[in-house]
Amino acid sequence: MTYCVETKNLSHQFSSESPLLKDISLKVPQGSIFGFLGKNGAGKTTTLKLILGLLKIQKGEVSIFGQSLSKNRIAILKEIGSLIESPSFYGHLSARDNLLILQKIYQCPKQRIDEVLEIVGLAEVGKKKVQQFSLGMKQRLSIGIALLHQPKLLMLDEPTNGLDPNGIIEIRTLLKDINSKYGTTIIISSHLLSEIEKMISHLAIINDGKLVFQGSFDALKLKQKELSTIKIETNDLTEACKILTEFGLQPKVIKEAIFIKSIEPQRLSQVIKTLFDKGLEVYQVAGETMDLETMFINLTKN
Amino acid sequence: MEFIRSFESELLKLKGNIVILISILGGLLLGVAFTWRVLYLRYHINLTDNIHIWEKIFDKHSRAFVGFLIPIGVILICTLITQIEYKNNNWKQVHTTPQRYGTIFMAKFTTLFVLTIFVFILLNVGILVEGILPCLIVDGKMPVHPIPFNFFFIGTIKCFILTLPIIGFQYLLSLYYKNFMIAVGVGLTVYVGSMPGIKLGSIGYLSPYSYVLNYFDQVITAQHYWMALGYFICLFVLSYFLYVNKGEKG
Ligand SMILES: Nc1ncnc2c1ncn2[C@@H]1O[C@H](COP(=O)(O)OP(=O)(O)OP(=O)(O)O)[C@@H](O)[C@H]1O
Ligand SMILES: [Mg+2]
Repeated sequence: MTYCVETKNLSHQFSSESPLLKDISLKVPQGSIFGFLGKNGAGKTTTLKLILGLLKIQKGEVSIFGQSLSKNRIAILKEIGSLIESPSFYGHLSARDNLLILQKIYQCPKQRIDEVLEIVGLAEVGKKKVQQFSLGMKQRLSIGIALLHQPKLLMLDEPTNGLDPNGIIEIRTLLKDINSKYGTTIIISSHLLSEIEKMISHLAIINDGKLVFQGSFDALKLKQKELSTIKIETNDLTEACKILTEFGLQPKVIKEAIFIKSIEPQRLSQVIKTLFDKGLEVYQVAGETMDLETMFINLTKN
Repeated sequence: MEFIRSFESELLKLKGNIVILISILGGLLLGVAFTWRVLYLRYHINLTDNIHIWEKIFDKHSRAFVGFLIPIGVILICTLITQIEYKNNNWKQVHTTPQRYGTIFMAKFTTLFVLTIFVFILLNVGILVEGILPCLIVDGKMPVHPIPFNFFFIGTIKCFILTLPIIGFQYLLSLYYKNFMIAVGVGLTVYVGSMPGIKLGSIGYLSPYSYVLNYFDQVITAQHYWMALGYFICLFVLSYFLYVNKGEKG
């Protein structure tokens, strides 16, 4: 497996505070859309800054495209487009001039400027001073800046901040397109799973400075399945628990109902049949699936 | 090549920026003020037979310029140029572009260096205007005393060298501190504090602002130009070192 970005035991501590990041080992597969989730203040921005070299690494290692950033900084940065935290721009200049400044440095074709303005929907206001832009327009410009030189890796820190619902969908579609067309790896951070779950292929969840989950989105769904339960209501809780235990299940009684971990349908039907055979009455059998958002909240609860 | 591109991008950032306006106004201020005064008095250099009249004019301009305008001007130029990056979180963008830290540091420095040279050129323009314009208007002909361009050139270079410690000092401050009040506040304090400070003999030269103030007081010797140059080089190396090793780059 080749990883586009890999960190090994990355730890960080701002002066005089308790450690913020503890042994973060991220593995971002090549060509993935990688969601980086965590609540406010979890350390997402800090991690991204460490990866980009904006913060000095105190402990651990970072490799991008299989190379160490400290040794190949220039070559690596040529292939990265980033938007970290709040938008960066020169307010006294137009959107076009802002892009021109970066076009000079990246030496990409000049026509990319118009293309990018078109892509992020700022073609009409390309000549307006950026300080007169709305928050969403500034955000769009910042996304445009990240896309300008057609990088192999995009690192976007909460890119849909301040965008209207349409804008969010637009950017999501745009990123998916770029990913499938050019194989661009995209790391996208958010504090809302629902906002990015429709686009990500992989994700990592950070809480209290540690990774609490990392893997493919399918793996998260599998975990969701494991965490979902079946609720059974009967007339005799004690007897029912005894029978369920004989089946190797671990029943838990919560408020007059029994909960067991979700099992295959055939096995469930056998269990219920046995309950009937032993003369118990079964009032209700219901599957309780934990939705992803709740699961995310549970994972990020201390 | 990388440097040229970087410098070009720095120049683009100045487009429509207030620092350009301040440089032009600052550079021409003395020329306009003195010329206006000369015109008002209807006294022009063709009325004097002092063959060192141009040197006198240069001396008058350069002392006021170096002693008062330049310290304030350099504080503003350095602060405004670095604030372009601080204002809207641009340092993090700049530091994720594929440029060596040294290139970024040098491109920015060159920008403010060039701006300062530009201001010094405007100083000379002002001197020429004060000498020539009243003669043309009042007397109807060019000054009779030949213009000592060589003297102006060497004099300007000397003044510039005395300014270098201030440039180094203010660049260091404004590069290191995000809050522009620190660069401006510390700069002004050291400048004003140096006014009585320069009376302290040789330790008076510890302040980066002492060189221009001593020029104003006309107590500069050849040795001081070397000291100013050395002072600047030390500050320059120090600010480069601090900049490259800053733990948080945006
Ligand atoms: N320069 C700094 N100095 C000291 N502490 C900092 C600094 N930057 C961030 N922190 C602290 O580190 C913690 C994590 O910040 P970070 O910006 O990485 O969080 P985040 O996950 O990006 O949050 P959000 O979702 O709000 O963007 C916060 O508690 C913050 O106060
Ligand atoms: Mg953040």
